Order: sequence, then structure tokens, then C-alpha cells
Amino acid sequence: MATLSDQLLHRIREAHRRRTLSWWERIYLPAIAQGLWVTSVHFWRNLFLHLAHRVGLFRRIPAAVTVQYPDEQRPTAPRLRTRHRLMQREDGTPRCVGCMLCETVCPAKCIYIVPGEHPDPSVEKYARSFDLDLGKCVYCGYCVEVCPEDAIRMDTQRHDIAAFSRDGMWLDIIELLHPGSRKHTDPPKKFIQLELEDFRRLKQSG
Amino acid sequence: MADFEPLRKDAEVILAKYPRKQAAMLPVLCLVQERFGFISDEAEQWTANLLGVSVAHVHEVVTFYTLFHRKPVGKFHVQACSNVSCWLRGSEQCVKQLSERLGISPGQTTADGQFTLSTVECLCACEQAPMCQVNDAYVGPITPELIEQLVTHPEQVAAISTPFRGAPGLVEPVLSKRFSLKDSHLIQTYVRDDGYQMARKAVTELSPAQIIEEVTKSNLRGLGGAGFLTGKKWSFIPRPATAQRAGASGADPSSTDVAGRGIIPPKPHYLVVNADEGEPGTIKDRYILERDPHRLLEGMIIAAHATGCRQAYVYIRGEYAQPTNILQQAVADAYQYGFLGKRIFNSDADFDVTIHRGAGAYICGEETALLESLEGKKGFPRLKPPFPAISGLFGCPTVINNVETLACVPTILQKGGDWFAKLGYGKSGGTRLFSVSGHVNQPGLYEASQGVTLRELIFDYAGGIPEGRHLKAVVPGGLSAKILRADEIDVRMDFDSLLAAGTMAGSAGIIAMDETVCMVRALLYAAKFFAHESCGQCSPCREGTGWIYKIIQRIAGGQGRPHDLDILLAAATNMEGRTICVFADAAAWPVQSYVTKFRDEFSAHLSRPGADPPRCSSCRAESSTPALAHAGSHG
Amino acid sequence: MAEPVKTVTLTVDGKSVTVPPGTTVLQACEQADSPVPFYCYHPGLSIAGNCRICLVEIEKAPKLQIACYTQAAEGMVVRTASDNVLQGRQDVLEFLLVNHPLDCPVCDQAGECWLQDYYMAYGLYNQKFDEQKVKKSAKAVSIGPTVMLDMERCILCSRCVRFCDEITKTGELGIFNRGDHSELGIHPGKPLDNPYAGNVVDVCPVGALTDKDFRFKCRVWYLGSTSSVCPGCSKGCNIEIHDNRERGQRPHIAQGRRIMRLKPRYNPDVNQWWMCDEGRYGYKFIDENRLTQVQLRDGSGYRAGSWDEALGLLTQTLRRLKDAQQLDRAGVVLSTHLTNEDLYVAKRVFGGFGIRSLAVQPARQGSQDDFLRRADKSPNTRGAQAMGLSFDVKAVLERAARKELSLLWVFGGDLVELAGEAQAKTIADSVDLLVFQGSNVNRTCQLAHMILPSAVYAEKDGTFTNEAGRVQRIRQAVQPLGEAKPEWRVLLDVADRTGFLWEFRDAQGVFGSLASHEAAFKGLSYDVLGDQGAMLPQKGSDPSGKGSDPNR
Repeated sequence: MATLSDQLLHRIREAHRRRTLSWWERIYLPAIAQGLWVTSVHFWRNLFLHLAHRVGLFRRIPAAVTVQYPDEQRPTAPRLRTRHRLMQREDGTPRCVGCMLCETVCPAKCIYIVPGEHPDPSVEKYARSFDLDLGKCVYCGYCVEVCPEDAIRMDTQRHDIAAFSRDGMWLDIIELLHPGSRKHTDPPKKFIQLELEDFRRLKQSG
Repeated sequence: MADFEPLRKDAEVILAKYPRKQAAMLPVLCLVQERFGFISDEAEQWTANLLGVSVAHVHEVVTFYTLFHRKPVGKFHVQACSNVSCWLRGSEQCVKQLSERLGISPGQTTADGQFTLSTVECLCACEQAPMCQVNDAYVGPITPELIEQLVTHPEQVAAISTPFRGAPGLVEPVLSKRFSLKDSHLIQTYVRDDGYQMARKAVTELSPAQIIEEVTKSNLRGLGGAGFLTGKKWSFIPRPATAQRAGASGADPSSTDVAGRGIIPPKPHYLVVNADEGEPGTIKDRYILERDPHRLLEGMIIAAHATGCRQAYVYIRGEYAQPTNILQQAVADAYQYGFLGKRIFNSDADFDVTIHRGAGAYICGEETALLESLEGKKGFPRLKPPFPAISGLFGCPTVINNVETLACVPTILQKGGDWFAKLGYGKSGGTRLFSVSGHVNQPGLYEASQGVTLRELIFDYAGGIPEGRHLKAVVPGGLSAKILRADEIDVRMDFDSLLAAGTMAGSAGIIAMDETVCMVRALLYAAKFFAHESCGQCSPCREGTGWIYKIIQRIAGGQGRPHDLDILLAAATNMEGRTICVFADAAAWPVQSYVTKFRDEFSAHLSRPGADPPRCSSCRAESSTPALAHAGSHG
Repeated sequence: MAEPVKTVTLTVDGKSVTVPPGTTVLQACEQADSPVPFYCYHPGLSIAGNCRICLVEIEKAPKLQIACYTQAAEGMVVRTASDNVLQGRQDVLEFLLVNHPLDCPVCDQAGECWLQDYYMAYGLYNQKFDEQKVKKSAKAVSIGPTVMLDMERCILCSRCVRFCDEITKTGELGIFNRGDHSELGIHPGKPLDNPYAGNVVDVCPVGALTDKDFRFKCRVWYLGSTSSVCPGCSKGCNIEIHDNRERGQRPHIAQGRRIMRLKPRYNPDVNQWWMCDEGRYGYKFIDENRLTQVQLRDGSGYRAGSWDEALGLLTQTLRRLKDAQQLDRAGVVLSTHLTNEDLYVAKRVFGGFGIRSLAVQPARQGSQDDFLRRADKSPNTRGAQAMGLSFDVKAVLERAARKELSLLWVFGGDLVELAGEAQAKTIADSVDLLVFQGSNVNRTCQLAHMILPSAVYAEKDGTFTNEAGRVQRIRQAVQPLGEAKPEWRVLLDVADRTGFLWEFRDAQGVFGSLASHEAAFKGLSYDVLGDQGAMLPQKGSDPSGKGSDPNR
């Protein structure tokens, strides 16, 4: 073989050539039996262990790898992109300054922000309304990456989003600031605009 | 609502002195402030209407210059110098004491309205350090007794009387001949001493070309600091085609030529005297103005004749109230004697002199900034070319010279250019007035040849370092000049020798620092000065000087970081050569020279991993870093 | 023997370029396609030379020189991208950014900020500044009815100060204090309220001076730009219309409005770089209070109709009048807000019918000055004059009031304002069919029997003729709202229905026809007009031969 690529091609071809099966292998029944054996072992073992667990024995020996969701939940990595939330300042107003970077960068164009004038000149701008259509969101996390104020995060660890309608997937600014505050039966307050005082009152009333 | 109309008459007199109304800006504002104690919104509006400019531009001027106040100040405004020479002689302690005795911090006024305390930059009375200015009077050196008297009987403190040290190395003093004479400032004294004879000769017998030739031969250099050959500068002035009879207001615009076509008359030439002495460590022009003003006037007459000027403006720094009064009297006397005014010395020539006071801005010592200030604007240096010789004051050909430079001119005519050149050294002719201050036994003004060495000046003339201490560093030519170590003082003080030694002759302001001086702290005071005086016109200097000051403040305050020195040097070097004028370069040189020549000392002030950054005893003793007093923020 | 015109030839980055004497190095570099960055330089203002970012290398000069001030000299060798220059540029940029606040997320200039642009092009350095930034006296304050100031963002280039000194000569702005505490401001009690104040926002390269009207409305990277001409007065300042191109998927921005702002466009012969505030902020009518539906009188109210219905009715009426030889019972009132194309098609169609009671409403008069503002607050009076249209609208209205008209078709304007409330009502009662074809709701709408929605200038291609006789193109920035249509298209439709056939179907075609039929416009075409317009040819452009003075 002259060049490196020639060698590589040769190895690839070798790997793809089908290996000839032995006589034993060509008969399927032994393989089937082997599989059934494995399954049975697991079945009886798990049955025993789960029953034992029920009466408090052999707790430390784990049985089936199945995670019994939602009673058991797999721990998620902190970096997992889950449902969004908006971060608050100390007084309950959003950290968001309405820079529109997340709205711009979102590939699904699912963020809608209306900015307003903040009386404190060192803050200057804030988000009067902030809506996120979770139905369109692709969970890319660009909005979190691009935010210069750490105002939006995808760290609520809520990934079990379900709704009865498209509107149910709509997150208004109140729900984003206070995750879980909206009941399933309430419609979202689409495009609601709040004053700074409203935010502070919301925080106080919990 | 204040009534400004009573000022109108005086204002009209001022307006008549300038061909453009806006040029009366500084004197009119001075008039308003003298009358009302400060300049209000209404005062600015009245001034704007009077001068035909927008009120925003009046406000620009009021906030630019340090001496204008927007709020009333106390009956006695105590302005304590906080620059290097005064710091070396204990100004920090003085300010602290004053502060304690008066019960206010710098920038504040006492509750009874009697005293306002401010810190200011160099008053150029460094030989009497530590110095302060109380209203118009220079008062010092500040001692505990003086502070006591100031606080209890402020109206009784006397202005300083400054002894002249002498000219030990000279057989015959040139500039300082009359400095120690009684009533040396009076015209009678001057005339008795053969004064104005050279002016008479120049105006009645010599041609401009002859004068310029003599001055060129003399190797007279610009003694304000730049060192430009004076003869060459005068030769740049365009020769007028015919002798003008124009007065201060310019030629008659209705003149026509033979064919009856309207012609544009040639522009008048102006002589401007730069008496805006401000380089820290320099006191020389003040001596000339106070002790030998007629010498200056004679020099001016000769210079004017050589360059076709019929009108001169003397721009004198606003803090120099007493020198201004003396000069004003001298001018009035000279008019009386027929040395100034119409047909001087019974010749065809007219020559008028107008004194124009500055209002507190070091940058107005830069020649084009001075012209802008004279024209009634902020002291923003101009873009060059055109140079003042072609387009200067009011767009006309202008000669600008320093006070000391002009004071040399009569002797050059009397003794000849060659004599003057030989008296000097190399390509720097004649003698200079050397200001020596800081840690020396006899601080003061000394006249010596250009060829004198720094060692001679400090040790032979000024008596060496007090209390048997050792010299550590010397600033050789005003605060802008790169510093020299104690082992570098065997250098002659002429322009070329100092340039070769990596520094500059500048304004010949020598500041000596002994071994107790912390170089970080010294640079702190220097940086504070440049940050305060930057005019702010162009970005590198405006931002750079402030940045540099902040870094050094941190280092002196014990929060220096490992990379600070490199950043400091970078900030300074990146300003150089990129600005409209050389102020930025002048601000960069101290940073570059102090940090480079005393690197170890600076490094020792920086933090090391795991250890608190140390501060030397000097920095620790003065626990607060000096506040940067901002223009227009007094009172 | 004439002296030859001297030129100067120099070399920029190895490229030879020849320029007239007096050209600066900056201008020469631009011509040589080696653009040099700048802040304080503005071609319409004096040279300040204070920003220092235009530093370039000139052979034989020991230091870098500023290109904006240095005159190009014969044989000069200039380098705009040597290591020295790039380092100098980067250092100056660093100095400018040292005290600049980290405001990009909240600053309206983001996306069109010269600090951002030049940093991305020439900066990209590791910053060394690690101190407390300078604080100024005020941040985010209003300094006049139209302008916000943020002193900390200001880089003190002084463009705005020079604008107020040299262009408007009102001098409201100044730079106060000294050193790095210098700050831009106004004198208390003297706000920035001259009629051209909005231009300081244009000249400000950063977000120090921002437009109050545009504040926080829309991010500039959502905007698209279309060249047009301001319809505010007869000066015809060239403008750019900035509309929100994202409005389809982002309807929440500015409540769904389309036009976000107007900016002046450079035209050396009309408005240079400037426009007045009246014109700049007079775009709200494009998206507000619009007529968008064809409406027909139904009892005391109106019902929605269709163009087909309306035009059918109109055509029928006209045909009936023509057959009964009663065309003198038809009247048309045009407007100087219409484009040349609208006016021309109206003239041809109504002229083709033989309708003689046709006049143009004179424009509303307002204030004028010796700079840009003109008293005639409409864009196309000269166009109507050049086409020889009558301005005797009084005669037409009087005939209508005397029941001498069955059909009165009013294009634009407001009959109530024109004739007074009483006479307008009389006219509405006297005329069988009062048609109002306009773009915005006004009092005439309540009187009209038929309302036809019009496209505004931003929604159509066309031309205006300014008072100096310059014909300038307007271009369509957005689609007409709702059912609105340009007048010329509606009239062509009417003509179609009555048997006239036209070969052209777009505005350019209409103009082509106009140029060949109207002597005043001879030789012009959209290509000739280009982006800066062209003057009406001298012969035949004298309007006083035909038509009457609209201001009488």
C-alpha cells in the first residue's frame, strides 16, 4: 500500500466484508435459546428482587434499570436546557433590559419583547412584556448564551411541559418570572405589559 | 435678579480694545466676577448678548477656566498649591492643617461664608513653597504661624516678597541686572539705567532685517520651553509690501487701488507675549514682570518693529494679579513717556500694548491655545499648519514669544548677537533665569549662562540638599521634562545638551528631590497635574491622562497589580505623537522616565501573590490621595 | 491662454489617485477605495481633527498624520493599513472606549454605532483598562423636544456642536469643563429646540444623542431602507424610509406599525445631508388613521364595498353623463400631494372624458426659513403647474354648491378645510355622488358618498417635482394598506372599463408616457432621474403660461 488513504480504504473494505457464519451460527435456534435464557434470568431475578424490595429486603441491590417515572426521576445535569425562566432583581423587577438580543438570535423567533423606559438612568431600559411561545421553541439555548445581563436562564429543570392547546404552551412574563404561578386552566396573559411597580407587587404577594 | 447694566460702561471700554467682540470674553467675565463674586446663569446670558455669541459658548468658557466660579465663594478664598515643588516642602500637611483649623475640606466654604478652601495646581512661586493664594495675593511660605494668622486675621496677611538669589557665575548679569534694585519696576529707574535706548535705536535707525539678523546670530532660543530659534521664528512673518498705518482695528476696508477696485488690505501683524507661566517649577517670568517690566516692554518694541507689528497683547496668567498690576502701571508710564502709543520715539511707527489676563488654564501656555483664549474661547490648541506666523491671532500673522525671550532682546542689540551667542553654550545663546526649588537649601531664581551644569546649579548655587541628605532625582526643565537621577546631573543646561541626555531644557524649572522622596508619590502629583490641565479636546490625551492618574492613585494607595506598570507605560506611550499638541507627550514623559529609571521602587509598591501590597512610609504617611480639583467646580 | 487646471496625484496604498487641489488625504483615500475611519469629520461641517482615529502614515512625516485635515500633495505616499497605522488606530479606539459606558444592550445606536463598527473592524484587542469609569453630570436626559442626551456615551467629537453653530447658527450645544470631565450639554433654560434639531441625532456617531421619537421603538437591525422624497413641503428633501422588515413574524413591535423613522438622504442640490424636524417626524400618518376599505354610503352610515363595485358605479355615472352630454356636470378636485404620475393619468383620463371642471387644490401654507423649510406644505405643486393644470378650485366648488354638478370626485385634501364646514355640507347635499379618494380619515369622509382608499407616498413608486423644478423619484417602501391603491392605478382601471387601453402598467411606464406627452417633462425618464433627480428642461417649464397662481 502506497499512501495512507490507500491503507484506510483497505481497512474500511475489510470491515465491510461479510464474515462467513459457522454451521452452528447458521442454525438460528441456539441463538434464540440463548436470548430466551438471558431474558428469563433477568425476569426471575427482577421479580424476586422487586418483591424483596417491597418487603424491605435487599434494598441495596438494584433490580431493573427502568426508572419509574414520575415516582422516580433521573437526576439531570445542571446544564440541561429545560424550561425558561426570567431572573429577578432584588425588588422583583426583571433583570432583563430589553436589549432584544435573545429575540433576534432565537432561530424559531418565539420571543416577543416590548421594552419600556426605566427611571433609573443607570438601568435605563426594562422589559414591559416578555412572551415566549414554548410551542415554537427548539431549546437551543441561544437566548441564554446571548443575554448580557444573565436575565434569562433555562435551568428550571422543568422538562415535562404539557398543555391542552397551543396557547397553553405560551409563557407570559409573569409565568416566566414566577415559574409555576399559572394554573393549567388559566389562559396565558399574552403580551401583557407591566409597570415596574407591578413587578414589585407581584414579588411581595408571592 | 442681578442688574448688569452698571457694568456696561466698563464692558464697552474693554470691547474697544479688540477687533472682535468675542475676544473680550475673559476680561468681561472677570469684570462680572469681580462685581458679583461669581458668574450666574443670568450673567452668562448677559455676557452672551453683549458679545454676540450663544450662551452655551459662554458657559463653555466659564466651566473651562479654573478661576471662574459658578457659585459664590467665601470672602477669603484660600487656594493652596498642591503641585510637586510645594508637596516636597510639605503642602499636604499644610492643607490638612488649614482644613482642620477652618473646619472644612478642600472645595468647601465655611458656614459663615468667610473662607473657601481649594487646592490648585502650580502657582509658579515654587521658591517660597509651600505656597497659597488668598484672593489675589500670593501668600507663603505656609507655616503654622501663617496659618494661624490667616485664620484669625486674614486681611492682614501680606503678599510674598521674593528675594532674588543672584547670578553667581556671571561677571555681569544680563536679565537680572535690576532685580535687586529698589523700585526696579519704575520707569524712572529703568530710564536712568539707559533703558529704552535700544528700542529707540531699533525704531529710528535699524531695519527689520538688521534686527532679525542680529537676533539670529545671537542663537536666542524660545525660553518658554520649546527652544525654537527666535530669529528664525521672526523671519517666518510675511514682509508687508508697504508700511502699514493700521491701528489695532485693522486696515481701512474701504481702500481701493488705482483702478478704483476694492482691494483687500494686508492683514495687521500682532505681537503676542506669552506671560502664561505655568510649567510647575518655573518662577522666572514673574520676576521679570514684577521687577523689570520695562525690560519686557523694550524687548516688545524691538520685536514689533522687526516683524511689522503695531499692536501687542500680553497674555498674563490670571493668578498673577500683582505682576499684572505692576505691568499695567509700567505700560501706562511708557505711554506717558512716548515709548508706546502713536508715533513712538517721534517716528512713523505706532505701537499699542493691551494686557489680557488669563483665567487659570495651563494649556493656554501652548501658543495656539493662547490665541484661542485671547480670541475669547476655550484654550483648545489649533491644528497646524497654518502656523501663527501665517495665520495666528484673528487669522493674522502673529509673533508669539515668551517674556524671558523678549527680555533678552535689548541686550542683544546693545552688545551684539555674537556676544550673546558666546555668552551661552553651543547653539543656545546667552543666559537663562534658572528656577530652583524642592529639596535645596536656597530655593530661588538664579541667572547663569546656558552652559552651566545642573550640578553647579544645585550644589554651588542653591546650597545643596538640606539636612545633609543626598540627592535622589532632579526634574531639569519643568515638570514635563524627563527626570534625571542623581548620577546624571553632570550635564549642561542648554537645549541641545539636555536633549542629548534624554530630557529637555524646557522652562529651566529645576526641582530637586532627596532620598526621602517616594518616586511613586512624586509621579502621583505629576499625573494629577496633567489630568487636571488636559484641555480635553482630543481623545488620546483626554482619556489617557485621566487613566494614568487613576492607575498611579491605585498603586500609591496600595492596590497596585502586577501588570500595572506595563499598562501605565503603554497608556503613556500610546498618547505620544497622536495628539493635536504636545501636551500629551509632556504628560507621557514623566510617566516614562520615573517608571523606567525607578522601576524597582514602583515594583515594590505592587502586590505579590499571597501578600498585601506594600506601601512605603511616605505613601503610608499621606493616607489620602490628593483630590483632583476640577475646573469650574470651586465653591 | 487659459491656465491648465492643476490636479494633485498621490499614491494611496500603492494605488495612484488624482484629485483636485484642496482635497484632503481622507477624501483621496476614499476615492482610492482605501477608506479611513473617522468620527469628528463630516463633509458638511468644519474640520475639528480631535478624534484622531483617521491617523494615517505619510511618507517623510515622522508622526502619523490625521487624514481629515492634511491636504493631499503632489507625490505624497500614503499608507492606510500599515502596522503603524493599525496600531495607532487601535490605541485611539482603546482611549475612546476607556470611559465609554457598557450600554450596548440598552442603547438605541446598537447596530449602527461607529464605536461598535470600528471595534469589530480595527479593534478586537484585550482591553487593559481596569479602573472606575468617569461619571458625567447626566445620563439619559431630554435636552429638547426631540433629542435625548447621554453624556457618558459622548466621545466629544463635537459634530453636533458644529452643526448647531454652522448650519442652524443657533449654538445651543457646548462642551463644558475640561479634560476627561468634559461633557456635552445645553445651557439651563435654553433647550435644543431649533427646527432642525433632529439632525444632531444623525450626525452623532454613537448613542449620545438619540431620537426621542424612535426611542426603544425597534432595533435597527430589523429595519430596511428605501429611498424616497419627503412629502412635507415643496423643498423635496431626499429621505430614506426605514420600515420594520420583521413585522411579519414580530407584530408586537411598535404595535405593528410599519414605518419606524425617516432619515435624510444626501443630495448636494436639494438638502445636502439635512432635513427639518417637521418632515422627519411627519411619517405617523402612513400607519395611523388610514382609510383602508372602499366604503359606500348606506343610509346614515357606510358599508364596505369592493373596488369593482365602486369603479363600476363610477364608470356607469361617467358614461351616463357622457351619453346625456352633460359632462359639464362632472367635477374633479385634485391635490398637490399627488405624484406626477397620478396627476398625469388624471389629466389624460378626465381630459379624455371631456371633463373641464377640473382643478388642483392649493397646498396648505406654513412657516418657511432660509434653509430648507418652504411655506408650501405639499410636494408637487410645481408638477401640477408644469402640466398646466388649473388651480381655480373655487370655481369648481361654487358650481358644486349651486347644484351644477352631479359628480364631484375629490382627490385628497379636506373639503371641510378647503371650503369651510357650511359650504362643504352644502356641496355634499347638492352633489349626487361625492367621491372622496384619500389616504387618511378626515372630516370629508363623513360627508362623502363614496370613499376610496389611497396609497400614501411610501406605498407607491412615482415622482414629485419640487419648487425648484427638480423631478425626483419616490420608491415604494411598503405595500398599500388594506385595499388602498395608488390614484394612477385606480384611474387606469376606470379608463380600462371605458375602453381606453394603455400599454404601460407600472409607474415607470406612466412616467414614460408623461415625458412624451408633456412638454415640460420632455427628455426625462426614471433612468435619467436616478437617485438624485433631474431638473425640468428649461424650455416649456415656465408654468405661468398655463394655469393660474395657486396662491391667489
